[in-house]
Amino acid sequence: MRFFFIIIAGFLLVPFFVYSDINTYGTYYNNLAVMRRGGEWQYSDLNLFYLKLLKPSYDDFELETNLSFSLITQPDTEIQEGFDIQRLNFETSLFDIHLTLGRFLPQYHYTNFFQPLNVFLGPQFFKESVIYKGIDGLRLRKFLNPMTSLEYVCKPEAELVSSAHLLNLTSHMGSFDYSLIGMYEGESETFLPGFGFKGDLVISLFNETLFEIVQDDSINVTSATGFDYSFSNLMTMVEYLYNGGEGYRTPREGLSLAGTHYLFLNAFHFVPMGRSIGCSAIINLDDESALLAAYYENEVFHGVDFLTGIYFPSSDEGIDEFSSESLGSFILNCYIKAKF
Amino acid sequence: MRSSLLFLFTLLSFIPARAAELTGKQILEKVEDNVYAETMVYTGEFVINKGDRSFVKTFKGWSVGEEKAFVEFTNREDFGVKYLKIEDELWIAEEDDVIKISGHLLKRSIMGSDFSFEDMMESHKLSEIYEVTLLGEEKIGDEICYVLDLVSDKGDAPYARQKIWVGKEDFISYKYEYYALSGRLMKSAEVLETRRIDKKDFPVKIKMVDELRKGSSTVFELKDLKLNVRIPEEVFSRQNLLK
Repeated sequence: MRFFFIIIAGFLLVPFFVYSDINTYGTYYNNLAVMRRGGEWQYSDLNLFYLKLLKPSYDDFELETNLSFSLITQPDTEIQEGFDIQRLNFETSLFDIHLTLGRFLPQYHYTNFFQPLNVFLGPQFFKESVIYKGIDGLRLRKFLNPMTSLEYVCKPEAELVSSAHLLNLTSHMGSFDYSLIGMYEGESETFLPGFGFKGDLVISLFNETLFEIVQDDSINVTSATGFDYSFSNLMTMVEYLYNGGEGYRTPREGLSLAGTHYLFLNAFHFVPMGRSIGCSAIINLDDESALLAAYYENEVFHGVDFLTGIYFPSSDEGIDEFSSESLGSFILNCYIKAKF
Repeated sequence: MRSSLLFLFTLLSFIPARAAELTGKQILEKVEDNVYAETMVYTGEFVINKGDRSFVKTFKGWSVGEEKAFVEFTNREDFGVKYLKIEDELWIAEEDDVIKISGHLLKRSIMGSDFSFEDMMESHKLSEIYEVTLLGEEKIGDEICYVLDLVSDKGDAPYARQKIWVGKEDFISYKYEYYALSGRLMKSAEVLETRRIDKKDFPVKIKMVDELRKGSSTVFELKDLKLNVRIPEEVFSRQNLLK
């Protein structure tokens, strides 16, 4: 624990020696979940701080540092208290190449819930992705034209052959954004090519497809397709996920999906004064188990958002990810985000 | 972004022209001609009123004609929020993530204000997507105004019908009303202040009222506005969104 505080203190102090003028921006997140599990009420509390230190741009040189750390309290589980650094990275631009070094979170997605192209992350139940811990590595990004970028990410391991390397080409054509990615994960000798797009074709359409080609030539295909539509202030979204193949899957942060066909449905309604109410369902079409949710969101003060949701697993018989045994039979989730 | 366009529309509608007997379309074209600028660089603010609550969001922006715009919010709470518009497409950068806004999500409110993404994105001339009829004349304050009725049967028009009050002397659009297909009044806008820049009277302060939400209104104000200045092409790029 002391080690982490030294790192944070160092992070906070260094910029004051390096920069004479610096802007600091912060966000505090708190997520409190209360659930009924095994006949008892349990709770889990996540506190997360995010700090960004930004040196203003001079002569095409910029330096940005990002830090986020979390404190988790789960008194009724084996994790009594958890402290972790989610992000700690430095970003700068040199010769038109943007460099990120340290712990950062690469994100590639066009869909809303299932995001196959986020090769380091899995799906999640709750709204915010900020709780995902970043990877330790290096990112280089070069823009080939105003809308086209080529990105390289390296996640090094102690044994260099086990490192992961990712290339991502992002561009724009017609009314569509698209990405092509290719990742090689050295430890399992897995090659992950994929593509994604989002654009308009009468309605908003999006897709992400990822292949996992493993050493023994077995192939997994993960593909999410969806659209959104609105009726005045009522917004609706539908997303279907195909999660096929029997081969090895690279481990990811977040929820692992055991089924083959899933559906995500979401509808929310904007009500006066910056508030919205909504409901969603994640359905495993193989066994028809589901997780149902209703939520309410409000900007309580300027820069302070509050969200509360109630989650119900549909039955005790579902597969692991939606069973009340693992999730609890009733989950109340409250979330606050405050910028300072 | 579109804030800039909408403002521009409203602003531009304030340019004088002498007319004898004009048709509704000619009046609207004069309004649009008056508001056109090759480029714009500006700073400004949204004052968003929600019942008893009121909050301010500040921004700086760049635009080229009606085709390109880039807006970056500068108030502390919205630091890092940026919008890029190219033709009919819109991207948002927020918290190190870039999202393309498309389809019906464009009907969502922008930054909690009474402007929608679709309001912001409108890059077509009104005279191209609406049939215009001159209804008559009415007085708005001290100004005698033409009253124009705009009706669209095209699906890409943000509203099925609009009414615009255009100053008879200065061709500034002083007031707007926006209607749904059912005929229900959805929003209204009025120009609170104009400023003379480069021999044009630009609306620099506009109030938009959401008529479906009691107590909900947004005042958009351009604090600093420069016309026809050179803007580097890199401003309107995904690279700038990710900076």
